[in-house]
Amino acid sequence: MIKVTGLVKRYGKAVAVDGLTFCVRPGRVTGFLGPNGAGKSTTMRIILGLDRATEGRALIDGRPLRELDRPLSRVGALLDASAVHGGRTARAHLRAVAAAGGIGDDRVDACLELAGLAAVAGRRIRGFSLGMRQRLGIATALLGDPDVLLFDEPVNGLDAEGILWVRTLMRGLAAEGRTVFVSSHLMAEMANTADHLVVIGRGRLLADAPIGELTGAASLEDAYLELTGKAVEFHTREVRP
Amino acid sequence: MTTLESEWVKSRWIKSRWVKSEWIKLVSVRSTWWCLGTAAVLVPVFAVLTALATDAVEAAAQPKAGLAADDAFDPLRPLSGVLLAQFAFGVLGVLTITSEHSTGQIRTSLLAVPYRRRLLVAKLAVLLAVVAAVASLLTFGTFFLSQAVYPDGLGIALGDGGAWKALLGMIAYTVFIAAFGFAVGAALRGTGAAITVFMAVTFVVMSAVPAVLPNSAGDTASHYTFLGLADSLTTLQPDPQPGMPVAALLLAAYAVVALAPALLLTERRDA
Repeated sequence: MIKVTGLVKRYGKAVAVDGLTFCVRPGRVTGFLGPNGAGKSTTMRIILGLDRATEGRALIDGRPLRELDRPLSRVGALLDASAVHGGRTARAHLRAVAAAGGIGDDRVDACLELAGLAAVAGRRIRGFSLGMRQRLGIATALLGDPDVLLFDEPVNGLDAEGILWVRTLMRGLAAEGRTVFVSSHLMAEMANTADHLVVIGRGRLLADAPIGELTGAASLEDAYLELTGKAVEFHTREVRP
Repeated sequence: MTTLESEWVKSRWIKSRWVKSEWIKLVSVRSTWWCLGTAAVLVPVFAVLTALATDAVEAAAQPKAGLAADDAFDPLRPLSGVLLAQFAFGVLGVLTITSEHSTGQIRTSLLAVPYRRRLLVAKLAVLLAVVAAVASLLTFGTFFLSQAVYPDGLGIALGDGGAWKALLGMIAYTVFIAAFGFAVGAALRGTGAAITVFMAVTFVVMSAVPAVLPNSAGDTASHYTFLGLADSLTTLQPDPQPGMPVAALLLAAYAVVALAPALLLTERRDA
């Protein structure tokens, strides 16, 4: 379980996260939704101990990440597909990460297989497409077979088959009783994947509810636009002829 | 202060699995092999070229005299390549850490090992062990190579006149310069900035400071620059200024001071 309480993150005067409180429970896929610049990635980085919160706390199973024993076996994360050194081969990258968590090479091969990367395991990551990098990031997240998983925009750059694969994977992980927290700025994607939604805009909580409650009569897309309409950081102006 | 202390107590432990991870990282990127390979070519080639040049010069100047009899000849001159190759080891030190930050790899690394100071120390330890091993091979290898290619040998054996101490000094200085590169890289994080600052300090500031100081002060200062201390560590002269142990301690102190900002700030910075 992930528990975020009163989280604030300021960069100088800019406020990226503004008093967020929510809970991500096990056994379901929780979508983390918001327009670009809403603070989704920042929140995830704070949960993972990469950024420091200005105020508030983010706990995983009741503890900050760094107090977990063997964190790799408790929490897996795909942050962004670029969090790799392009000069390494896919296998070397996974072996290095796995070694740090005391995980053996057989698990590395299993994850390469699972992510559909076995055939390119010996190639340098620099030459990978965005979709292949996403798959590698997901393989990295799964290395420690963790109970808590965070995915930041996992379907970016994936083709239709890849999107279906991620969706099935996440549903499966949740069905096994794991905590699955997935960010996206695409409502339509979440509609097919998530059981529960946490919606934020401008760093503030807009909604925290089962997906059914958010839709009601209108379509999910409409509900989302209505929720976030006032909280979008970058508006497109309508161009008139 | 208490949090800092408790952190320090906890951070004494570097797990062997982190060391293994850092080892895999270091040997699985090409830049490591470029840096080490450059040094591995430069050092022996320099020794052979020096041998050929010396041979020619000596032959012209005093065709009958043996090399060993010539006081002007420093038997360790062919090993100067070790100090010339310092930039390669320094750049390796820089890249070992900045490549993680510039690629974003550090975020993946920190998820596996969220104890930043300990991760930095593990990374540094692996780097220095590799540099020490390679520098040892190069230094001793080139010493014996030089003995073989010089017309009359170097005129010196490993046990003569503290030659082995001078060789150890070369290895120690190489380890120092890698640590210094790493320190600059860990503090600045960006590859371009870190390499520039590393080069500027090592090759410009360190010679500029003694040059701008008044005569006697500049003279004294020149003994305490990186290369001044390296001279003390690697010379065959009986009484270098400062002495060998002092020079070693001062270099260690330079390294600690350089590493301090990164070690103190890493827990507070966003990754």
